[in-house]
Amino acid sequence: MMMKNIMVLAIVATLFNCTTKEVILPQLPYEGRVSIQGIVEPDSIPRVYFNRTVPYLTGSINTADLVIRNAIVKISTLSESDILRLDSIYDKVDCRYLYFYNGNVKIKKNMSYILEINDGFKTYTATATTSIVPVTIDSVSYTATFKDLYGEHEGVLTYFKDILNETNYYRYEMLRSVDSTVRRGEKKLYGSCLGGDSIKYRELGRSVYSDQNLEGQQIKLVIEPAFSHKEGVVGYVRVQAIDKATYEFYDQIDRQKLGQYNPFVEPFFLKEGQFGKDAIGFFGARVKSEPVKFIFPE
Amino acid sequence: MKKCPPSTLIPIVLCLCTIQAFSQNITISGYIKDDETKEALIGATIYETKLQKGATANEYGFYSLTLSSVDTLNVIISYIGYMPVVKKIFSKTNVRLDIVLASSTVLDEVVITATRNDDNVNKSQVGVIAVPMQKIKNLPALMGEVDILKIIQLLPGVQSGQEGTTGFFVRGGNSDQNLVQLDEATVYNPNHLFGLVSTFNINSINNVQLIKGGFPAQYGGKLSSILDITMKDGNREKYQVEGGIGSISGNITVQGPIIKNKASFIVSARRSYMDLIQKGFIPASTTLYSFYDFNAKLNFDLGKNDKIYLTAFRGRDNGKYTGANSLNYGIDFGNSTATLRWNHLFGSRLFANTSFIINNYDLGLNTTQGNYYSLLYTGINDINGKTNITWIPNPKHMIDFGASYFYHTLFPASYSSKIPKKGNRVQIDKNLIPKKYSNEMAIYANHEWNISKKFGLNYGVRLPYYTAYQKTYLLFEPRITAKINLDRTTSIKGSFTVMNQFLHAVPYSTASLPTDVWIPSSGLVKPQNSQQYSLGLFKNLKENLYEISVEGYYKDMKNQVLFKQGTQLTLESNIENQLTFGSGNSYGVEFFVKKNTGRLTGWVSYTLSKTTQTFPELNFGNPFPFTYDRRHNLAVVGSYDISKRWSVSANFVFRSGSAYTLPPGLIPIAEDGSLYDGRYYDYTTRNNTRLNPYNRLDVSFSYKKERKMFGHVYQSELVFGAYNIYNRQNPYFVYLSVDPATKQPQANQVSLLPIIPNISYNFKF
Repeated sequence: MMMKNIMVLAIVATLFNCTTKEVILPQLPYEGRVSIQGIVEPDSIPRVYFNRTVPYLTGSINTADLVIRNAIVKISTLSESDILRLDSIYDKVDCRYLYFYNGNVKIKKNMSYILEINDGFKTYTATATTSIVPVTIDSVSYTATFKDLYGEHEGVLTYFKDILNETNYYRYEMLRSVDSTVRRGEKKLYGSCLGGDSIKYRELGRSVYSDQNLEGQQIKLVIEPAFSHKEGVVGYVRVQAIDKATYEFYDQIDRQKLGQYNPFVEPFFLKEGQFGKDAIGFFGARVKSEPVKFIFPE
Repeated sequence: MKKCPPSTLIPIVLCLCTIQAFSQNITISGYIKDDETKEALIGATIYETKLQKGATANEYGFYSLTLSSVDTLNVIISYIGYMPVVKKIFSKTNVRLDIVLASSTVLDEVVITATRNDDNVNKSQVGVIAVPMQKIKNLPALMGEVDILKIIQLLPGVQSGQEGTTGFFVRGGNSDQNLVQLDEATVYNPNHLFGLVSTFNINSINNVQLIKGGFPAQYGGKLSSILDITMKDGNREKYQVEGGIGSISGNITVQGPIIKNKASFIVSARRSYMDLIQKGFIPASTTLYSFYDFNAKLNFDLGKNDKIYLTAFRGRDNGKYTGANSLNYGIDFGNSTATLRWNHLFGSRLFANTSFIINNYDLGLNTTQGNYYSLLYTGINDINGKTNITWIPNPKHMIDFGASYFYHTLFPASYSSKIPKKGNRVQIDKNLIPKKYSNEMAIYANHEWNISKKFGLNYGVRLPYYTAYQKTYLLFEPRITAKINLDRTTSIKGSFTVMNQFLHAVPYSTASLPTDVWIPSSGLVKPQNSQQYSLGLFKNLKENLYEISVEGYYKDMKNQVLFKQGTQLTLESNIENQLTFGSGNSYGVEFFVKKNTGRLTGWVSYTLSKTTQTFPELNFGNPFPFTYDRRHNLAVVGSYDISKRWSVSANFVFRSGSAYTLPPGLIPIAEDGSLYDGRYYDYTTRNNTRLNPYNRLDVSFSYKKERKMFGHVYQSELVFGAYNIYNRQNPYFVYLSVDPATKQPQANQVSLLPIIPNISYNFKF
């Protein structure tokens, strides 16, 4: 009887048991490109992130190795130009340096800017115009559960009125304090280098939104907070009004990230943008609303 | 003597001419059946030896042979596996000749042949393979379950999907492009246990025919193949019981006369019992699977010229699986069909078949992988009526014409999301899914013309007409096959066919499970269209001991359907708006060598092919490989009779890995969402990587013996063997992950089926 039981179990286990093994992935032939994110915002110094792409199997790589140094990065108008210099800040949340090219001259409203980057091999050029009108936030509130493409999660609700008679694009941000007790996503802050410090951190919403079908109406954004919080935690919410180039770029990467996490989503290929096929990225403009104070109720 | 006036001569001459006309030809017609069971012998031949003219029995066993009237006609009626019968006919008028053939044990060694005798060379049809059921039973089977679909996948030009996925793929077409019909009813998902076993109980099946090119005009609605399965009618002479107990399921078939020689029935049932055993030993098991299928058929002779058939089929699968690699799923799906058919003979040369069919299909699937889950529901209800008339004026000509009508109701829904931390997952309520209705009609005519011993032509046209929500499509489908005999045992055949398809199963590129969503054509979703060319050389050697063929094909496909990149369906989604459309082409060469008789029989099939798709909105508009573009496909099948009781058989299969997409590069991106990690994929080409090649060897032994039980003699058969005997870990799918510490990407290959021993016991009273 015992043998029969064991046989049956063996058959059942054999029948329904998948086996998993690690396989060697081939590194496919890959011609590296550059990654460019350039943003101009009125009354702010321009900033351009300029990195290299790497083969998929590169694994862990330092941000210092990704940045393309000694590039000539220039932002100019008809009347003036600004040469951006390589700079960095230390991100205590992700324990890494963030490298970017920083400008010297503040960006003005209602101007057209040309970005030119020369890395010694190629020149990448794009334009952006700072004629976007900021919105005014009507109110900010909170919901413990909300369902969307990303699943069921809590959300910060931000209400504002869309600007009529033009196509608009938006993004959420919140400035708040984080310390080592705060979790990001599902985990405690990975490799957090905060120690006992508390820092101000600008949290960005993962999605970008257009005013399609909501022209001139009140828009509600429901954003899953990136960091955990307790009752009484204070954050300052702004709505960024962004241009089409910025919107299209971050919309693409959001769709791709959804496919990375969710195995039931079709993979998304990032398209070339303003810089042509040798670069992935954008050069765009944004303007921010006035901040609204928000206190987490739980 | 008075002479006849000239005016009286005319009617006499006319009478003589008329008599002469009538006496020029006679038609012999009737049914060819098995002596013991009175089952129709589909494809049996009747051949007149002096005039060298013949005919073949159709899917109901009916034949019609019109010959010049001579003093004596000598006809031979034959069928593989049966003793031929010779008849002498001394008649000047049409003859109704119903014939029964007795089975011959001498020809037991013969395995699958392309058609009958030298039909593969001499018939003006190309791309047709008929599978005699008695031979399938000798071939190795997964878990002891002999399976039609598994056998089909060993033939040239046909391949399976990934192990554990449903469907088969013919000449580069997707799995939804195959029409599988059981007694004329469409079966949308003819699989159990994720394609490991088909839904057809082999003991209830009379005949299986696969058409993969040169489609006659009677067939339409699918681009790539027709798998036409005919059920047995039931033994009209005596009651019979047969069945078997295998590693995973048991089956029983009961058949017998209702009125001897006039009406009979057959009922066949099969059920898995792994779930029952598991529940008994592991009540809290999280992995359970059950399936069943049920076939029933009644048939009645309403006089000499009319027959009625009523067929019903139901198959169902229900399972849940909890995997070690975070892949879990629950599945519930099934098919139900009912067919009412009426055969009528209008004289000896005109045969009509009219059918009324209802079929239902539904699939509910929920899958969890990692932190995400997916739901899918697809439902299809069809009401179908059709009629086909076959006119056989003489052995040179056979003309088929007819019409069909389908009323389709489809209701698809799909959803995927992150698993909620609290609260319940979304559920799909099938009663709330919006229904999509459409009408599909067609009229057709087909002419098979044996021009001479050397030349043959099979041509026709089909005119499908489709309507859905004020959108109509009226299309034109020419079909033509031509044959030239180089000699008695060698021929060259070529064909050109146009096919259209109005229902589409849209595949997910990332899915490793049956997640196809079925949708109808509409204003936005145009009918799929294919144009296929084929050319082949067919040769028989040593009196049909060996059959050899080499056939090349080229298929061009338009209006192919895939999901747009980044698609994530919600219950509110209009699926049509998530689709993107493109084209495909497939070309290849198929080699087939078969040994038909002797102690060792079997075949080798090899296909070299390439299938590419081009979608303007995918892969930057550049062509990319079809997911199941497998360059090489090899099958070696053999069966050897060790003795009268013992036999051994083996399959070896090799195929190139199917394609999937791997990003070759990584892109760092700044100021992305704070929930994201700044790392993105630089995809450059879709389907740019291949899974490891697939290969496996299956072996089985069979021991047959006559035994007694309760005083009754029965045939027993013990079958044992192993699937995947060298335990190769063939790839099921590959998923990517990133080590959180090192950020190193890693790939994990999941394999589904290791070595699986099997044993089964079959009996037949």
